[in-house]
Amino acid sequence: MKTDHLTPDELTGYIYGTLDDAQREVMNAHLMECPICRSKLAEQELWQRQISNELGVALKFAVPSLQMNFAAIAPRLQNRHIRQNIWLDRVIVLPTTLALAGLVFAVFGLWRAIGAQAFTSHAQPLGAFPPLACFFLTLASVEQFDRSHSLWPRRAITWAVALILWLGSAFIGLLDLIVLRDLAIMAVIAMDGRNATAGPIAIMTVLLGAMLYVGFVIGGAEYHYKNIGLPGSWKLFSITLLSQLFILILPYLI
Amino acid sequence: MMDLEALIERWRAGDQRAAEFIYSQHREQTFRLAYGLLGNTEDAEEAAQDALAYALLHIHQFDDHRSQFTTWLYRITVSRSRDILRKHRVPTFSLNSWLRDRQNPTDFRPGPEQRAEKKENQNTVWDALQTLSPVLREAIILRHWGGRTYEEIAEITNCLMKTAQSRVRLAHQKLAHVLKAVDFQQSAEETR
Repeated sequence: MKTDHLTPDELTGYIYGTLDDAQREVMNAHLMECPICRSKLAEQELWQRQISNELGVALKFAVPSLQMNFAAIAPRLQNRHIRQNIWLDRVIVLPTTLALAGLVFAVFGLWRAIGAQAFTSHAQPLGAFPPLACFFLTLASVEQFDRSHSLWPRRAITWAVALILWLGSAFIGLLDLIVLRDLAIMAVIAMDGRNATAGPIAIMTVLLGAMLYVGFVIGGAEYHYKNIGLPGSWKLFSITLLSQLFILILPYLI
Repeated sequence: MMDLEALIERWRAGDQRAAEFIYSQHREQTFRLAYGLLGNTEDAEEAAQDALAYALLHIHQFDDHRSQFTTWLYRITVSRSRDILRKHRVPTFSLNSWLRDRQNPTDFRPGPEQRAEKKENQNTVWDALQTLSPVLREAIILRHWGGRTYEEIAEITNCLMKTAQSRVRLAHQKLAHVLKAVDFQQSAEETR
C-alpha cells in the first residue's frame, strides 16, 4: 500500500483513466485507507464535471454566422480535378525529390570514397558530395516537421522519406568515420610529430567510431520506426544530419 | 439521411451535392472545435471553412481504413487553427488595410452581437481556457467536448499517446487551479 498522499498527477491520472492496472490498484488500496486523498479525489472529480459541463455549454452556444456556408467554398471545389493527380501534389513531390537527391549524393560520396581507397589510406578528400547529401537530406527532414502522416498517400511518402533519410544518414555516418580517423591521425602527428603511433590510433578511432556507428544506426532505426511521422522523428533526423555535416566540414575549419 | 461513407464515395466520383451534404453535416462541429481553440467567431469561421474546403478538395487523401472522417477533419481543423494562431503571433503590416483603416477608422467597441455572444459564452471554465497554451487547449477540448480517446487526440494533434494523456492532465490541473482561485475569491466577497 502507498503510504504518502497521492500527488496531483496521480489524482488527475486516476480520474482521467491514464494509469495502468498496477498503479490503479495501488491507488485504490491507498484511497480505502486515506480520507484526505478521498476528499482530494472527490474535489478533482467535481472540477472535472464542471470543466466538462461548462465547456459543453460554451461551445453549444457557439454558432457560425450565415456567411459560413457551402456557397463560399464551392468555387474552390470547382478546380478539384487539378488536385486529383496526387503525383503533382507539392507535399509529395518536394520531400521525395529532396530526399532522393540527398541519397544520390550520399551514394556518390561513398562510391567516391571507396574508389579513392579512403578507407585504407588517409588524407583523401571526400569532395562536395557528402556535404551536399547532408544539406538535401536535412532540408527533406525539416520540410516534414509540420506535416500530417495519417493522410493517404502521405503515409506511404512518410515511410519512403524516413527510409531514405535513415539510409542516407547511415551512408554519411561511414564517411564521418573516415573524417574522424583522419582527424585523429592529424592530431597525433601534430602532438608528437611521429607517424609511428598514428597507425594504432587510427585503428582505435575506427573501432570506437564503428561501435558508436552501429549503435546509432540500430538505435535510430528503432526510434524512427516507433515514432514514424511524428515531429520528434523528423527533428532527430535533422539533428543527426546537421551533426554529420559538422563532422564533415571539421577538417576545413581546423 | 445518407450515410457518410456513401456520401464520400459519391463526392469522390464527382457529385457536388454529396460534397454539400458532407459540408452541412460537419459545419457546426468543425466551427465549434475551431471556436474552442481560437476563442473568437471570425477566426473560427476562417479555420473551419479552410479545413472543410481542404478536406473536400483532398478527399482522395482520406484513408477510411485508418481513421474516421471526423478524426481526419479535426486534424485538419487543429492544423488550420494553429496556422491562424501563428499568424497572430507574427506582427504583419498591410499597406492596404492601413490605408483602408485610415479612411474608415475601425470602431473597437463591441457591437450588440458581440456583446450578446460574450454574455452567452461567459463562464468560468471558458475564461480559464483562454489562459491555457494552444496544445493544452486542444487536448482538453478534444477530451471533454469531442469525447475523443487519447489515441484519437494523439492522432489529431500529431503527438504520442502518452503526450496526449499528460496534456489532458496538465490542462485539467491548470483549469482546476484557476477555478479554485475564482471560488476562493467569490466566497471571500460573499463573507465581506
